[in-house]
Amino acid sequence: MNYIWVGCLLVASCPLFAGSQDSEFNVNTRYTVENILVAGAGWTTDLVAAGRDNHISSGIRRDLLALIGQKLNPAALDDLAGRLRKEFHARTVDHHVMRGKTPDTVEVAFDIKLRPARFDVSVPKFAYSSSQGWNGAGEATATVNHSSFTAGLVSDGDDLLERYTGVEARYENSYLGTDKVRFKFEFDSFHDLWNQQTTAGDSAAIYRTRENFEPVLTLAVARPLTLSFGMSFERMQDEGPAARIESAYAFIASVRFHRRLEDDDDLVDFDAGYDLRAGMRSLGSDYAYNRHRFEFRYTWTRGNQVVIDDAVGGVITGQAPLYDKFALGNTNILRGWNKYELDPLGGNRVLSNSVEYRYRAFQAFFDSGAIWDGGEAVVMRNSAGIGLREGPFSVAVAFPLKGGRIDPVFMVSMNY
Amino acid sequence: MAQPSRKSSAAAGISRRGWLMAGLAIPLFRARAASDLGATYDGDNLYPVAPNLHFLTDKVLNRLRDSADTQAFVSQLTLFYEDGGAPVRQKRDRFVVSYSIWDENFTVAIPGSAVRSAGGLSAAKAEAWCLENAAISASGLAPDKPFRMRFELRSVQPRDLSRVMGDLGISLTSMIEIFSRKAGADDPHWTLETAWLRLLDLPRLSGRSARRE
Repeated sequence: MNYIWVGCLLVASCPLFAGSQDSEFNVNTRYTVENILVAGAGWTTDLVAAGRDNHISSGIRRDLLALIGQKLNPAALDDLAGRLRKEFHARTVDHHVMRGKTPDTVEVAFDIKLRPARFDVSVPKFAYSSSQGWNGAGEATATVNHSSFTAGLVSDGDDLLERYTGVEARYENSYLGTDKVRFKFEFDSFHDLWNQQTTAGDSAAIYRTRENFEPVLTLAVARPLTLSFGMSFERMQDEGPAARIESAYAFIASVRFHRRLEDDDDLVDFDAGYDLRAGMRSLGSDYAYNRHRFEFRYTWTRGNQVVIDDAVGGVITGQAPLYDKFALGNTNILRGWNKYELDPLGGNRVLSNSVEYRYRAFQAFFDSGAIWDGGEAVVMRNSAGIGLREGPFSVAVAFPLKGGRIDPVFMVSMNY
Repeated sequence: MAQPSRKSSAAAGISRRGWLMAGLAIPLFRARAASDLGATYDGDNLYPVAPNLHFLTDKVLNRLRDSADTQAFVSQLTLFYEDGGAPVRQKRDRFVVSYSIWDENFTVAIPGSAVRSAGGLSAAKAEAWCLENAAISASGLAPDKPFRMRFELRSVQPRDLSRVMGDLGISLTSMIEIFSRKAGADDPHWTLETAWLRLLDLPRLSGRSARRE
């Protein structure tokens, strides 16, 4: 019951993030916006005079252009300043309103101020599920120009079959000669806890600690397409008395595609991704396997309505370590089901689809999925749920659709 | 070592006693400001009068000019019979001020079910309008019983909570920065109090109403 109150408080606090409610008493709302300028580090874009511009994303540019010719709306300016700040990772984005060239018109200037060095402590994600408990991460990031150093703590029993708890550290450079090439090096050290069903299923496969070194290079091939490749050097210490060290050294690659289509009423986003992890004995790995994972997400937005379809599929060939096995039944995929009941050792095949409808803060979803090993019969499971969502925060109740009793699962999450 | 120091102070024309007096004088200026509240009475309502109170400062004006946005103020008018005693009556109001960047004058509004507003005002008139509309009912007050009136005003800064949601989730750094701001540093506030008054002694104004549109 306490957690329900936590959830309610989270959702109730979201309006705090909204803009000013005093706009209707603002005398300047009778003036018409004549032009909008956006100024960044060494560049200025005049939205009326400029044709195409590469500094601002098409979505923000479209929304800025939509303000021209309209009455001044300070709340909309605040909203766009927030979006510009996020897009440019800026310290501040101020907006100034000046008299326009003709009477009763105004010109708006957004001033983007970047910060060459900054330090931030953040909570990138957290989740609570009544079936699987708390999960979360905290990070501290120091950024100097294009380089950032991050150290954090994480305890997560949601994503994988294990609950991994430990430290994460990474270095990222977002500008290797060009902003189209990025580099990341990550080090993780985790202590692992296991569900009894997993331990009973295959005690030889579990490990007590896991360390990972992972250098990755990312190329922005074209605006909607990015390609990443690198290596993952994972070392696990067995649970057994010998505490043997096992290694899983793998080549990793991923492709991400994003496309946005927009017209006057509709906004459609396509996201597609493919991930490969190839553990190779030639690299000295104890595990030889190929893990392929595909993801497709379609988001359609019209006004306050959003429809999302999220499909995931995956195949593993060879013998993969437990952290790379597929799991279904968490706060993301096949919500409401318990992943340990479905497959406590994880599967080599996975297929899932989630359809979600959102209207303002309300959300309703229907999840389907199957997890199995090659050669086994495929059993599809379904779940349905409702909830409230505001930005990255979500409070939801999911019901696994199965014969017999109804066993709802309550979830509170952010960025999961 | 003390002798040269005294000489240098004397040479500058400021004695130690002078510094002491100056130090004592600073809180006295605040006390003087606190006694700058008067009151008028129209038979129904009590009106705070504070000709020396100027809350539309240059800082507020610059922000209103620059952003073409609004600035909210919250006022509280309290009547009490005893120092430190429970309030006899209390009234809170919220004023929203904006500044026309073309007409260069102020508009003030009191949001609510019956919105009151006035436009085309100078800074002084806008301040006076706010005080006039902060009037409190005097019904039920004994005409010969001494009372005091306290007027409190605070500017309300829009907390930039959107910064809390950063690129990396909830930014604890921004949260600490916002919630650790010293109260009053960004939200200037004023507290003024009358001397002891009696309704009997207050001059009656005629033809005045606090419910002006």
